Amino acid sequence: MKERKIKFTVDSNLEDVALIGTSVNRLCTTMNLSDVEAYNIELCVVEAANNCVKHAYNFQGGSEVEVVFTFFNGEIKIEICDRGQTMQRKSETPTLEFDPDDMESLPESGMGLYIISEVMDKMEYATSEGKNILTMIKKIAPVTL
Amino acid sequence: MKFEEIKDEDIWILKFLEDRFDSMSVSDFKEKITAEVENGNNKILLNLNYVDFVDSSGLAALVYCFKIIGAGGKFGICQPKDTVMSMLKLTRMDRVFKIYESEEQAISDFKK
Repeated sequence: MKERKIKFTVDSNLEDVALIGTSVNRLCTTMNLSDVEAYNIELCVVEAANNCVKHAYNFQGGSEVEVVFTFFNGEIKIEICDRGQTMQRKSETPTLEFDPDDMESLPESGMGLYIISEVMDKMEYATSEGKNILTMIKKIAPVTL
Repeated sequence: MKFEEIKDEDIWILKFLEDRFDSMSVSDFKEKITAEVENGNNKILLNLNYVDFVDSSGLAALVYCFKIIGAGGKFGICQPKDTVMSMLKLTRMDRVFKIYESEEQAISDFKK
Protein backbone atom coordinates (compact mmCIF):
# COMPACT_ATOMS: atom_id res chain seq x y z
CA MET A 1 0.00 0.00 0.00
CA LYS A 2 1.21 3.48 -0.89
CA GLU A 3 2.29 5.84 1.86
CA ARG A 4 0.00 8.87 2.25
CA LYS A 5 1.45 12.05 3.67
CA ILE A 6 0.33 15.60 4.36
CA LYS A 7 2.42 18.43 5.75
CA PHE A 8 1.10 21.69 7.13
CA THR A 9 2.44 24.65 9.04
CA VAL A 10 0.96 27.19 11.43
CA ASP A 11 2.31 30.23 13.20
CA SER A 12 3.69 29.67 16.71
CA ASN A 13 0.69 30.97 18.65
CA LEU A 14 -1.78 29.11 20.85
CA GLU A 15 -4.78 30.29 18.84
CA ASP A 16 -3.56 28.50 15.72
CA VAL A 17 -2.92 25.24 17.58
CA ALA A 18 -6.66 24.55 17.33
CA LEU A 19 -6.30 24.62 13.52
CA ILE A 20 -3.77 21.81 13.71
CA GLY A 21 -5.98 19.86 16.09
CA THR A 22 -9.17 20.04 14.07
CA SER A 23 -7.29 19.21 10.85
CA VAL A 24 -5.73 16.10 12.38
CA ASN A 25 -9.07 15.04 13.84
CA ARG A 26 -10.64 15.25 10.39
CA LEU A 27 -7.81 13.21 8.86
CA CYS A 28 -8.36 10.55 11.52
CA THR A 29 -12.09 10.30 10.86
CA THR A 30 -11.37 9.65 7.18
CA MET A 31 -9.46 6.58 8.39
CA ASN A 32 -12.57 5.22 10.05
CA LEU A 33 -11.36 5.97 13.56
CA SER A 34 -14.11 6.51 16.13
CA ASP A 35 -14.83 9.96 17.55
CA VAL A 36 -13.00 9.05 20.76
CA GLU A 37 -9.95 7.65 18.90
CA ALA A 38 -9.79 10.74 16.67
CA TYR A 39 -10.16 12.98 19.73
CA ASN A 40 -7.31 11.21 21.53
CA ILE A 41 -4.98 11.70 18.57
CA GLU A 42 -6.07 15.34 18.21
CA LEU A 43 -5.38 15.76 21.93
CA CYS A 44 -1.81 14.47 21.57
CA VAL A 45 -1.14 16.77 18.63
CA VAL A 46 -2.53 19.78 20.50
CA GLU A 47 -0.44 18.96 23.59
CA ALA A 48 2.72 18.63 21.48
CA ALA A 49 2.04 21.83 19.53
CA ASN A 50 1.21 23.72 22.74
CA ASN A 51 4.60 22.64 24.08
CA CYS A 52 6.28 24.09 20.96
CA VAL A 53 4.54 27.44 21.45
CA LYS A 54 5.02 27.58 25.23
CA HIS A 55 8.46 26.06 25.71
CA ALA A 56 10.32 26.07 22.38
CA TYR A 57 9.16 29.56 21.35
CA ASN A 58 8.33 30.98 24.82
CA PHE A 59 4.89 32.21 23.58
CA GLN A 60 6.46 34.27 20.81
CA GLY A 61 4.56 34.21 17.51
CA GLY A 62 6.20 34.63 14.13
CA SER A 63 7.87 31.23 13.95
CA GLU A 64 6.62 27.98 12.47
CA VAL A 65 5.16 24.86 13.99
CA GLU A 66 5.19 22.15 11.33
CA VAL A 67 3.08 19.01 11.38
CA VAL A 68 3.79 16.01 9.17
CA PHE A 69 1.01 13.43 9.17
CA THR A 70 1.84 10.10 7.54
CA PHE A 71 -0.32 7.04 7.14
CA PHE A 72 1.20 3.76 6.04
CA ASN A 73 0.39 0.11 6.62
CA GLY A 74 -1.92 0.48 9.61
CA GLU A 75 0.21 3.07 11.34
CA ILE A 76 -0.24 6.79 11.82
CA LYS A 77 2.96 8.74 12.29
CA ILE A 78 2.76 12.39 13.34
CA GLU A 79 5.82 14.60 13.57
CA ILE A 80 5.56 17.96 15.35
CA CYS A 81 8.52 20.16 14.47
CA ASP A 82 9.88 23.47 15.67
CA ARG A 83 13.13 25.42 15.49
CA GLY A 84 12.95 26.91 18.98
CA GLN A 85 14.56 25.97 22.25
CA THR A 86 15.21 22.24 22.61
CA MET A 87 13.33 20.48 25.40
CA GLN A 88 15.35 18.83 28.15
CA ARG A 89 15.23 15.11 27.49
CA LYS A 90 13.94 12.82 30.17
CA SER A 91 14.54 9.14 29.66
CA GLU A 92 11.81 7.88 31.96
CA THR A 93 8.20 7.48 30.86
CA PRO A 94 6.05 10.42 32.04
CA THR A 95 3.82 9.58 34.99
CA LEU A 96 0.83 11.21 36.62
CA GLU A 97 1.02 10.53 40.32
CA PHE A 98 -1.71 11.73 42.66
CA ASP A 99 -4.11 10.53 45.30
CA PRO A 100 -7.71 11.13 44.13
CA ASP A 101 -8.72 11.65 47.77
CA ASP A 102 -6.01 14.19 48.49
CA MET A 103 -6.93 17.52 46.92
CA GLU A 104 -3.47 19.01 47.41
CA SER A 105 -1.84 16.21 45.43
CA LEU A 106 -3.85 16.93 42.27
CA PRO A 107 -1.67 18.20 39.41
CA GLU A 108 -2.32 21.52 37.64
CA SER A 109 0.44 21.13 35.06
CA GLY A 110 2.68 18.58 33.40
CA MET A 111 -0.13 16.37 32.11
CA GLY A 112 0.51 16.79 28.36
CA LEU A 113 3.41 14.39 27.95
CA TYR A 114 1.69 11.84 30.17
CA ILE A 115 -1.38 11.95 27.89
CA ILE A 116 0.77 11.49 24.79
CA SER A 117 2.60 8.53 26.32
CA GLU A 118 -0.69 6.88 27.29
CA VAL A 119 -2.44 7.36 23.94
CA MET A 120 0.42 6.74 21.53
CA ASP A 121 2.24 3.46 20.94
CA LYS A 122 5.56 5.25 20.56
CA MET A 123 6.90 8.72 21.30
CA GLU A 124 10.37 9.98 20.45
CA TYR A 125 12.04 13.39 20.65
CA ALA A 126 15.09 14.29 18.60
CA THR A 127 16.97 17.35 17.40
CA SER A 128 18.76 17.61 14.10
CA GLU A 129 20.33 20.69 12.53
CA GLY A 130 18.37 23.01 14.83
CA LYS A 131 15.05 21.30 14.20
CA ASN A 132 13.28 19.67 17.14
CA ILE A 133 11.02 16.80 16.15
CA LEU A 134 8.54 15.00 18.38
CA THR A 135 7.52 11.81 16.59
CA MET A 136 4.36 10.03 17.71
CA ILE A 137 3.20 6.70 16.32
CA LYS A 138 -0.20 5.08 16.70
CA LYS A 139 -1.13 1.71 15.27
CA ILE A 140 -4.63 1.48 13.84
CA ALA A 141 -6.67 -1.04 11.91
CA PRO A 142 -5.62 -1.14 8.24
CA VAL A 143 -7.82 0.96 5.98
CA THR A 144 -7.83 1.63 2.24
CA LEU A 145 -7.72 5.32 1.34
CA MET B 1 -15.09 32.16 26.17
CA LYS B 2 -18.88 32.30 26.21
CA PHE B 3 -20.90 30.92 29.10
CA GLU B 4 -24.50 30.82 30.21
CA GLU B 5 -24.93 31.38 33.94
CA ILE B 6 -27.88 30.02 35.88
CA LYS B 7 -28.62 30.17 39.60
CA ASP B 8 -30.68 27.46 41.25
CA GLU B 9 -30.98 28.53 44.89
CA ASP B 10 -27.35 28.55 46.08
CA ILE B 11 -26.02 26.46 43.17
CA TRP B 12 -24.21 28.34 40.43
CA ILE B 13 -24.43 26.55 37.09
CA LEU B 14 -22.00 27.51 34.37
CA LYS B 15 -22.83 26.20 30.93
CA PHE B 16 -20.01 26.33 28.38
CA LEU B 17 -21.33 27.61 25.04
CA GLU B 18 -18.21 26.91 22.98
CA ASP B 19 -16.93 23.58 21.75
CA ARG B 20 -13.29 23.91 22.86
CA PHE B 21 -11.99 24.31 26.39
CA ASP B 22 -8.26 24.70 25.87
CA SER B 23 -5.28 26.94 26.54
CA MET B 24 -7.05 29.83 24.78
CA SER B 25 -10.05 29.83 27.09
CA VAL B 26 -8.78 28.86 30.53
CA SER B 27 -7.93 32.43 31.64
CA ASP B 28 -11.54 33.63 31.22
CA PHE B 29 -12.79 30.57 33.04
CA LYS B 30 -10.40 30.85 35.98
CA GLU B 31 -11.15 34.58 36.38
CA LYS B 32 -14.87 33.88 36.46
CA ILE B 33 -14.56 31.01 38.93
CA THR B 34 -12.23 32.96 41.21
CA ALA B 35 -14.67 35.91 41.29
CA GLU B 36 -17.62 33.64 42.10
CA VAL B 37 -15.81 31.86 44.91
CA GLU B 38 -14.64 35.19 46.35
CA ASN B 39 -18.29 36.29 46.30
CA GLY B 40 -19.16 33.34 48.49
CA ASN B 41 -20.43 30.87 45.90
CA ASN B 42 -19.00 27.50 46.71
CA LYS B 43 -21.47 25.21 44.97
CA ILE B 44 -20.48 25.18 41.33
CA LEU B 45 -21.77 22.91 38.58
CA LEU B 46 -20.20 22.96 35.11
CA ASN B 47 -22.34 21.85 32.19
CA LEU B 48 -20.06 20.57 29.41
CA ASN B 49 -22.83 19.50 27.04
CA TYR B 50 -21.51 21.62 24.15
CA VAL B 51 -17.82 20.90 24.71
CA ASP B 52 -16.16 18.56 22.20
CA PHE B 53 -12.56 19.16 23.15
CA VAL B 54 -10.70 19.62 26.44
CA ASP B 55 -6.89 19.62 26.53
CA SER B 56 -4.57 19.40 29.55
CA SER B 57 -4.84 23.18 30.07
CA GLY B 58 -8.61 22.84 30.33
CA LEU B 59 -8.23 19.88 32.64
CA ALA B 60 -5.81 21.82 34.84
CA ALA B 61 -8.39 24.63 35.03
CA LEU B 62 -10.99 22.13 36.26
CA VAL B 63 -8.54 21.00 38.95
CA TYR B 64 -7.97 24.65 39.89
CA CYS B 65 -11.73 25.12 40.20
CA PHE B 66 -12.07 22.01 42.35
CA LYS B 67 -9.26 23.16 44.64
CA ILE B 68 -10.40 26.77 45.01
CA ILE B 69 -13.89 25.65 46.03
CA GLY B 70 -12.30 23.38 48.59
CA ALA B 71 -13.63 20.62 50.77
CA GLY B 72 -16.33 22.87 52.25
CA GLY B 73 -18.06 23.41 48.90
CA LYS B 74 -19.47 21.33 46.09
CA PHE B 75 -18.12 20.93 42.59
CA GLY B 76 -19.42 18.80 39.76
CA ILE B 77 -19.44 18.31 36.03
CA CYS B 78 -22.51 17.29 34.06
CA GLN B 79 -23.20 15.98 30.57
CA PRO B 80 -19.63 15.46 29.36
CA LYS B 81 -19.42 13.97 25.87
CA ASP B 82 -17.77 10.60 25.30
CA THR B 83 -14.63 12.32 24.02
CA VAL B 84 -14.25 14.48 27.11
CA MET B 85 -15.14 11.57 29.37
CA SER B 86 -12.39 9.49 27.75
CA MET B 87 -9.85 12.19 28.66
CA LEU B 88 -11.09 12.31 32.26
CA LYS B 89 -10.69 8.53 32.47
CA LEU B 90 -7.27 8.59 30.81
CA THR B 91 -5.99 11.00 33.46
CA ARG B 92 -7.99 9.30 36.29
CA MET B 93 -9.77 12.58 36.99
CA ASP B 94 -13.06 10.68 36.74
CA ARG B 95 -12.15 9.42 40.23
CA VAL B 96 -11.67 12.97 41.49
CA PHE B 97 -14.63 14.96 40.14
CA LYS B 98 -18.30 14.22 40.65
CA ILE B 99 -19.63 13.56 37.16
CA TYR B 100 -23.36 13.51 36.36
CA GLU B 101 -25.26 12.39 33.29
CA SER B 102 -27.76 15.25 33.55
CA GLU B 103 -28.05 18.71 35.09
CA GLU B 104 -31.17 17.65 37.00
CA GLN B 105 -29.35 14.69 38.56
CA ALA B 106 -26.49 16.96 39.61
CA ILE B 107 -28.76 19.61 41.12
CA SER B 108 -30.67 16.98 43.03
CA ASP B 109 -27.43 15.61 44.47
CA PHE B 110 -26.11 19.09 45.31
CA LYS B 111 -29.29 19.81 47.31
CA LYS B 112 -28.97 16.70 49.50
